[in-house]
Amino acid sequence: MEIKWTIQGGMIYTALATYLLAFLLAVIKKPKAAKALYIIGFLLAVVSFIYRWLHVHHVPMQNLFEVFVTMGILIYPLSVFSRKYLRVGVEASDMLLGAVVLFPAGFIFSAQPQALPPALQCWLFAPHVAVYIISYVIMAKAAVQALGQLSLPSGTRDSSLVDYETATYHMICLGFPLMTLGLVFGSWWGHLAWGDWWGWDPKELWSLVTWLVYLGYLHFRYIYGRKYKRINSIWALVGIVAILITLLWVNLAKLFSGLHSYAT
Amino acid sequence: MSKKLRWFLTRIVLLWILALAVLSVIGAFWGATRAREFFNSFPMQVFWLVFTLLLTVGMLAFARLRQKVGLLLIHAGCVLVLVGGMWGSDLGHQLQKQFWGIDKVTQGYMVVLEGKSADKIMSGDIRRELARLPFRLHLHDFRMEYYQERAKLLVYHQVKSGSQIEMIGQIPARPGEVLLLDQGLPLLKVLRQFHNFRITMENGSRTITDDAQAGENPALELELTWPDGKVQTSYVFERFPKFNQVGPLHFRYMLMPKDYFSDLEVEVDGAPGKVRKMVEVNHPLHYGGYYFYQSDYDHQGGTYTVLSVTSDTGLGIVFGGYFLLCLGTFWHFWFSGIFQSCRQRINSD
Repeated sequence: MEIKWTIQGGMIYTALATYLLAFLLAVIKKPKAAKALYIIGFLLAVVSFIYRWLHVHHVPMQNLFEVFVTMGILIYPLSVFSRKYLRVGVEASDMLLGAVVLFPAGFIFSAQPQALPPALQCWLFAPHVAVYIISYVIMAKAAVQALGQLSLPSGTRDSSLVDYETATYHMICLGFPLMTLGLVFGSWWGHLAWGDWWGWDPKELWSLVTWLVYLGYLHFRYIYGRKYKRINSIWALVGIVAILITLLWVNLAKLFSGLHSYAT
Repeated sequence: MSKKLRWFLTRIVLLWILALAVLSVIGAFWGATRAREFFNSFPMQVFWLVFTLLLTVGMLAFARLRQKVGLLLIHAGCVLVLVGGMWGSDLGHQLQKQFWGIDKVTQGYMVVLEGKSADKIMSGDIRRELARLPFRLHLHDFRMEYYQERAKLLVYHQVKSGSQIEMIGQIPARPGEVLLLDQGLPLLKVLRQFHNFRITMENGSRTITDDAQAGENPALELELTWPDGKVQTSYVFERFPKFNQVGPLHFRYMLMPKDYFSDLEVEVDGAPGKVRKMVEVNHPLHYGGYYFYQSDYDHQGGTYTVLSVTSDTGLGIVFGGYFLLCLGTFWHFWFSGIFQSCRQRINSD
């Protein structure tokens, strides 16, 4: 646990607290106030992201601290987009998700600025990491919908929204192309930096596992449709576990040392 | 094709995806070297071949995969990635040598001295010659760039001979920086920072210069003021740590590399000027069916560069597959739906 007594830390804590407060207000059915706080939390997260960018002089996506700060700014736009275009709701859980992704940035990972090592000085650095971060946030929202499908009774939702199982599918369809692009960008970058478009590095293998889990979900759902709704949802939850392992464990556990170890 | 065969095909593809996911998890526990050996082994080559065939048969068996542009691109993209991967593998190279006489090495290393040329591709330990290139690479210059603002001087103390050394302080390695140490130890001041430290002897006197000529020898000039008033000048070297000791104090000059540069030129039949490129990390040289990457360098003298050499066989097919895969996923999951809803809206208007 590391408390950051810095301007950056202060901004992260304020954004985190605002997201949490917005969630609590949404739970006690104060939607207008919750929405206002949700927007304020988002703006604070954006300011924190920009501040970090100016501080380190490169796109703040180099280490896990910066990755989680970036995730903090993606939740609100995703909420708005998914409700408007995909009819996927549950903003309250998104507010909580905002606080959850900012927590590791605020309390767990070091904010020590780092210079970019030679391998990271590539134009593919920002697009590769950015598409992955966006896809991970989308898949996290898919997992929340899947949890809703598994734990909440059906028929209690806003009629303008799709059911939880369909919402999970919509979110995965949104995130899967970005995940594919992330994998391809990574492979391209590996070819430029290490001379290998596929190096069998633990992080590469876990990101392949993650991609295959969602590929399996899409095939399973195509074969069986909505016949086994619960299995579809469990599959989406396995996907988010694979993402967590790819994102965290591979960087943190000494068990999987490899070429991506700088991203801790 | 019969319904039964299609039923079988979908299940077997699902099984293959799951098998690959499980094998990848196991491979992640093994680490890159062992995983690479495993995924390139003969049984796995059979696995990849069956996977490719399953996808190809799937495209023929399911009309949906042919009619939906996105799905066709995704599956065709996957087939190309697998074919390109197999074509560029060790086994693929062996088969190409056997049937078409194409003799290329999959991967290797080259050591090129500054001002010299080389054509030997060596094994990973730089001991065994794997092949010779039909051309030579000439190294004009090797140099490194550092993050100067991140250069550090670390100070260690050894209480008595044979005891462990412990770090007692660090300062930015910039002229004018001062470090006050514990009682009995000197006050440290950084006087100069050298990019290429050189000592020359003229008429019996020693001259220390920062040589602008080729070569690198990063060093610091320190002033040590001892408690008894004695002032001493000492030099700390980035590449020669064994010289970095003054009494009980040990120093370490740490520079963070920003980039490595090898100025390379291709020579064909001894004639230069074919291609010249500054090879650096993320910017390899592509020539004669190989990619040449900045891999390592002479850590002490900076007099040679180590390049990793990779065959480009199959690479075009893999990246063609990637292109189709990306195009297909975005088309199928994003754009086809948008176009469909636009069309519906236009029709309803």
